[in-house]
Amino acid sequence: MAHVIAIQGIHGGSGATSICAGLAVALNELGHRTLALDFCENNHLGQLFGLAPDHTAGLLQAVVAGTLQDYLLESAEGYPFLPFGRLPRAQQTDVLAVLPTVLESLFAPLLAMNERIVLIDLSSVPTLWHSWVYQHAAVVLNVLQPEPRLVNGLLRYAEYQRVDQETAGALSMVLVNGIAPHLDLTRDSVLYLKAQLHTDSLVPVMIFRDQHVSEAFALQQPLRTFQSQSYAAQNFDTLAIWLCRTLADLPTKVRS
Amino acid sequence: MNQWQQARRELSVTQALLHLMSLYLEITLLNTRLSKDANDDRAQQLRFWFPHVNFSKLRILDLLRIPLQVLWLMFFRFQVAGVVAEPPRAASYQKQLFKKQSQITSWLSAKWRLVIKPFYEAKAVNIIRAFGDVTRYGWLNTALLRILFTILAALLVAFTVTLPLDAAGQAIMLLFFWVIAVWVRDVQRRGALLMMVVLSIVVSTRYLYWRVTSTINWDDAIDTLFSMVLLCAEVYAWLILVLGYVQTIWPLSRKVAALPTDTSIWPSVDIYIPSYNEPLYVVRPTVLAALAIDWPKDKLNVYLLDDGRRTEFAEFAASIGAGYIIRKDNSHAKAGNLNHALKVTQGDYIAIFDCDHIPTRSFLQLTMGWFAQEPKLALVQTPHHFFSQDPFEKNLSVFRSKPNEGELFYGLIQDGNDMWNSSFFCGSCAVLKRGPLEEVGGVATETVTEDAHTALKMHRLGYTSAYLNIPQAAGLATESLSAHIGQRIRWARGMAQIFRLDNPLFGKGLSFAQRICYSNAMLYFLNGLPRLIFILAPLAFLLLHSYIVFAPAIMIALYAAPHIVHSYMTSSRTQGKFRHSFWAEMYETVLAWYIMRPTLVALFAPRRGKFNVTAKGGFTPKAYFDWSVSTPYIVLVALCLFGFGFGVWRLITGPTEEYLTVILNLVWVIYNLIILGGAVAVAEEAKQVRVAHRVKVKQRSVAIITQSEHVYEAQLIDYSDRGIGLQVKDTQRIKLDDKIRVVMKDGTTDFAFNATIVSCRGTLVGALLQVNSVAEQQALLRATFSRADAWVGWRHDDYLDRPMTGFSEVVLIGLRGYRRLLLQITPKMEPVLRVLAKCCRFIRSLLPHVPGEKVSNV
Repeated sequence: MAHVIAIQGIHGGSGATSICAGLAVALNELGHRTLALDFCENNHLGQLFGLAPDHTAGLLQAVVAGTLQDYLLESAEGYPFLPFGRLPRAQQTDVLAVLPTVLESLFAPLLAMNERIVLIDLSSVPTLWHSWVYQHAAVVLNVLQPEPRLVNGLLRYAEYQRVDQETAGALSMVLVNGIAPHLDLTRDSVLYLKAQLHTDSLVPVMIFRDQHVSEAFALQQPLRTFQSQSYAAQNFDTLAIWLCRTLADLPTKVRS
Repeated sequence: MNQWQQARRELSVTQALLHLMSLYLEITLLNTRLSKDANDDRAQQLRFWFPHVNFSKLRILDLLRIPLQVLWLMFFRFQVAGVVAEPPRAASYQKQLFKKQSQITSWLSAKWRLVIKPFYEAKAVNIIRAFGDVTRYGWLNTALLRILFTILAALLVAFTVTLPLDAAGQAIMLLFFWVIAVWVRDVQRRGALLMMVVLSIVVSTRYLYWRVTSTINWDDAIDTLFSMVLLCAEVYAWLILVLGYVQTIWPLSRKVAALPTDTSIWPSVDIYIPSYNEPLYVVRPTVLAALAIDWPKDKLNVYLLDDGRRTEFAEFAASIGAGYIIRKDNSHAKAGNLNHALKVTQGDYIAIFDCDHIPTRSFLQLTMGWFAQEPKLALVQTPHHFFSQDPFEKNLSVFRSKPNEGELFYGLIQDGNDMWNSSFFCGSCAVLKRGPLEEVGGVATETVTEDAHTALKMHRLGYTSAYLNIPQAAGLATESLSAHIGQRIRWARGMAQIFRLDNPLFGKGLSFAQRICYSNAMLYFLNGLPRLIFILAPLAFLLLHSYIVFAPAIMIALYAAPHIVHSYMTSSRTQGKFRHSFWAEMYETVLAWYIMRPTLVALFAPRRGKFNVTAKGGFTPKAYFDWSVSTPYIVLVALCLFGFGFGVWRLITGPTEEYLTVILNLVWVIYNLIILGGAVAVAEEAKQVRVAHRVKVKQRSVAIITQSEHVYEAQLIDYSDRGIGLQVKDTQRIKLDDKIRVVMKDGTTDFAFNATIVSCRGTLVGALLQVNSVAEQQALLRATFSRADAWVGWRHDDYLDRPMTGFSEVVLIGLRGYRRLLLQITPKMEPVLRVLAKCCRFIRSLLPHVPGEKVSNV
């Protein structure tokens, strides 16, 4: 059975997509066969693996076709991923409506494979397929930036996402992205976060705010390819190791 | 021909000839292929077996070196891990030849290593375990039987000590003892150590008994006098040896005791930082770090006790929220300063730090636990740890590679004292309970070592003390030999004063063990005179022809040698991790002359003398030789050399029956000369250019943020209070004068410090930190000097001392000392010395080398 990890922003622009891509690359480099899936309508993930913005095929088309076969892609470095895809407006609404119903049959063969890790990038805004992902996910990483938005975000998270994720049997954790220790505000935000959250629900690895991340995005390259020495890339490596360790400790998820 | 021309281009005629011949021989004899690939491989192989021969540039004497090495490899080669096991790839004729030969020797040595030695060691362990297993004969443990056994053992020892034997009998008996000691030497069990100690005491006592009963020369008044003087020194040495064994036989190795989980019931603590004339930059980090100690803020008060009454100190204390206490006069120096503060503060406990000892943030949480466990506890002491080099480490350049001078005391002796509830206060890095301290009238003011005296007074009242052997504060070591000597003079004088004014052997309240530990601590400092006597003793015979040990030389050797061997072997076993053998001799010899007078004065007139402050935090702009300090040693060296010359003259012209006596004395003089050489070597003050000492660290990664907000990883190499050294992966991204931010961990949070790149050498980058606000300074301290684990791993716990290695270290240091001394007297000697050194290197280059050894200059 494949391990499913969902990554979702607590608020918009938290960098969940970057983390999904960075983590997928780091896990692959560690030797774990990892697939990154874009479940977010922004359709950004592909760009982080070098996909041209005018490439429209992806999950949506796979739903129409009823198979993943021709829509799973591989980056130039060999990292597998599935973009969300883009359809004309009229068609998209219909496809989105059927999407939650076909997910199970579409991904069943993939999820049945052993020793695979599947990373799913979820939007911060709830959609119809969130609950399907929670059902399958072993871990959900809820990403936030250390800035004032986190206060409201956390309240919402405690009220909705965490309850949903935990009822679905997933391990719900908060991951901080964009640490900038030279700014008092980020330092204070982290202190606030530590005071509010139990240590067990905060991922001990934090991702630094590193200009390399934005630059890699702009160049449409995985961060590791753009600058493997960058600190953020090393943060992703550490996060990957932490994740493997956590997965090893988790009991295997029994699906309903 | 082509090859010849090529060779001639670089080499002389003979060298080229040799080179080509060797090439030819290699091809014909070793049957190697000449492809480029194989060529490299073979060169590496030959280079491995002949590390001191450069095959691409052979020299004439290599004709001697190669056969010597081959012979040595054949007969004495030890197994080199990983290399011999390799299957023979190129079937080389020569290699196979010596392989077969060496198989026998390596088989023997392997047998010894893997079978014989472990067998006997396991035997020893079993016997000792059987002795230690008391459960089976627990019924024996009654008072009566214990007394009976003690009497029996005492009788046995008395018999062994007094048994008169002839030379052969004595030799056999001591050989037997020696074999037992060697047998159990490596057995890591307390029983083995006890056995070695008992053997050492028996042998030494037997020696002393023999000395007292049958070696005093009563014939001649002068001889008798010398004889008695030497005997007194030997009795003193024996006493210190035995007391030392008792003191360190069973170190307690106390662990940290947990504090109550409810922080509201933690007691309040006052931290005193006394200062007199130290500059503010030395005191500042200590006060800041003290304020940053992890303890409830409302229960922690830091006071700067300024006997210098400086306005800048008052302003500094006010600006960071520390208390500032001054008094009208400076009576009783540090002790008076502390006592004055004791009157004006109210904390339940008092932690004291010298103004240069930077505490770690965990100091109180680790030390305070024991007070909750033991209601009678009055003192918890932690080691004094130094992050700068002491004069020995600096001038002999052995920083962090050998245990330093203080390690014996703080690593072993205090821990041993703790077993007997007699670890004492050392003036800094300690916590005292207010009640008991006030009961003894505050810090003692009668002597100049107020710390030990205060602890003694508290012990007399029945309070207990604890020693926690975890460095939780670090400071600056004394910066020069003269300062070091000054400090030790104070300690020696103070200890002698206590011995006179408040003798631990007498008076109320102490247990027998406490009396022993305290008197050993005090008597130890009287070693000045005895040591000088030992240095001068052989001269009595060599110069004055006085028989101070009136016995045949063979008997002297048979009695004295085992005494010396056993005491070195046992000391090496008990304290080898904390002080290498023979280094103690050097440390003590340096001080001997200087502490002799103050201790004698203090013994006879204990109230004289004043407190002197140890200078710290300075620098030595250039290397120099401290003549004034080393004068006594140079005189002693001259005397010894004179005696040595006389001895040689006696050897040539004297009667034959005196040969052995002369040789014995010559050996003694040579030994003294070696130790004195060490003392001389320390007197050359090495350069110390940085005022701020750099502390080296391993395996600590930090992040650096460039101005463009790019973040990279770097390794922290070293730090001081204002600068850091970093190792970066890519040199392209960091330029000189760049402004960067360095992210370090302050506990669990990340803290970024502004820094400017001031040096770039390859991947090594030096940065100057700009820390301005108090919060930043405290964060920096918590990330560096006062990290809870800042001083973990500074001790070499895994080191197994061997007396002979210690001896060779001291010999080398002694030789270096004489070379420096000669150069100081006549710089013209330099060419001569250089030639001598060259000769030594040349001879060394002829001798065989261990395969794979790194040899420079080939």
